[in-house]
Amino acid sequence: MLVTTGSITTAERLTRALYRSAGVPARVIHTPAEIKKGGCSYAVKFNEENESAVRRIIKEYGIKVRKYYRESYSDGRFVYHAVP
Amino acid sequence: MLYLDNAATTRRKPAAVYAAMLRYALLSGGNAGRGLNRLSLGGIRAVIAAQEAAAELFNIENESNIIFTQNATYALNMAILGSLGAGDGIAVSAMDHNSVLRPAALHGQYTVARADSTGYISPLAYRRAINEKTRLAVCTHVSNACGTAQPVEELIKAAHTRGAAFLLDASQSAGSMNIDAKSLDVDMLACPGHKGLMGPMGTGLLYVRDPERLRAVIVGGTGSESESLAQPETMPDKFHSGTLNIPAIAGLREGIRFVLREGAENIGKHEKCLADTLRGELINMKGVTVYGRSDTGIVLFNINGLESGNCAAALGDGIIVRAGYHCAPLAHKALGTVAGGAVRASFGYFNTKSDVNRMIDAVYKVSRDTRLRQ
Repeated sequence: MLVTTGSITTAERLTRALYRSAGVPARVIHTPAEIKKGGCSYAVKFNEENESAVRRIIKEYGIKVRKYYRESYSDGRFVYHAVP
Repeated sequence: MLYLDNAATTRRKPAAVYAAMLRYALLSGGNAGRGLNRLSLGGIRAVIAAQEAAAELFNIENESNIIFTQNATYALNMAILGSLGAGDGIAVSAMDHNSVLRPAALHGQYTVARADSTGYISPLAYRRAINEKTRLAVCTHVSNACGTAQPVEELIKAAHTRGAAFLLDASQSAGSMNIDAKSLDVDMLACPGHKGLMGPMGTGLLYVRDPERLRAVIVGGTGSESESLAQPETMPDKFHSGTLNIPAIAGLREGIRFVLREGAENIGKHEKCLADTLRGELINMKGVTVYGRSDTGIVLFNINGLESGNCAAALGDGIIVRAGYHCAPLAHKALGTVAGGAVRASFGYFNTKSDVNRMIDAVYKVSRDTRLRQ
């Protein structure tokens, strides 16, 4: 699962907050081409089982994120579904 | 050498500042925010760590809203010019530095709160400078010329009561006074990193409570939303265009951590104690005039019959003080030193009592020699 952010600083800040506050491992990635508009865009990738913790930390720290996506693999490629 | 120009920059820094700069310059060197490589991410982590330290020092809730600049002048310009539109007014104070006065004059529509002869801005004088057109009110926390501290809590209330945002210029107070951005209710706070925060030269910061209300006056590459010609609104990218000085920001973080460990209030007390000792001696010295109030680590004085530049030179090469106007022309007008400026001795945390004694002896010698020549 991943959540897109407006900048690499926000993405990195989120990974730090997740690890420090909830022990949730996460990493910054380039936003996959399938869901980005083009140009430089970053997202934070984490295990789906940590979704509630991630949402809680984002709210608690007031980190501004964009959209959440679930990732699946189908017909030899990754597919991303936006989730509210 | 006796360094007493800490109001210009703190010359000596904690060892950790130099170590961090060296570490980032030698072992890192990636361009922060430009990609996901290890070096670039290391730069971003340095920025975040510095933001966290500054947020702790100033009790700022949202550390993302802290921007790093080259110095306080850039921070103040960004805050002033980015806040004002056509028809908006700005209120400044007579004790402000040219880094506030010049952007205000560049904008054109400004009013000035008058100071008394000790450099103090009364809340009444400040309220009088704020009118219905005032969108932004600015004031220096501590005068860089004479060290007088302003009643900023009341000034901020005065600005907010009249619907203006408040920008605090903490250039002389950051690192020497406890500043709580939350309880003070400041809209913006600007300060250098290389003075009381003990960071390297070429650093400064700006805190913006409501970034959506501030226009970016410098735009360009941020490493984000590169497909768009519009500047990103995301913080801190909105105000972080171009390559950041990561070794310096890493050094600044260590400077702030030093201040956090020692305590800004303790640092300020030490500086004030040294300044008060000098002030007490100079006030009683024949042929010497002292200006301003006994609030901080700054002592402004003149030796009667000696132009301030000549006075600083007469103290000798080994004593480093600052003569002239200190980039604060209206302050010197208020203090009555507009004719030739004055000599400023400013103490830092690493100065000692023996430094004060050496300065007292030097001023005494110059004042005595001047009197004998008259």
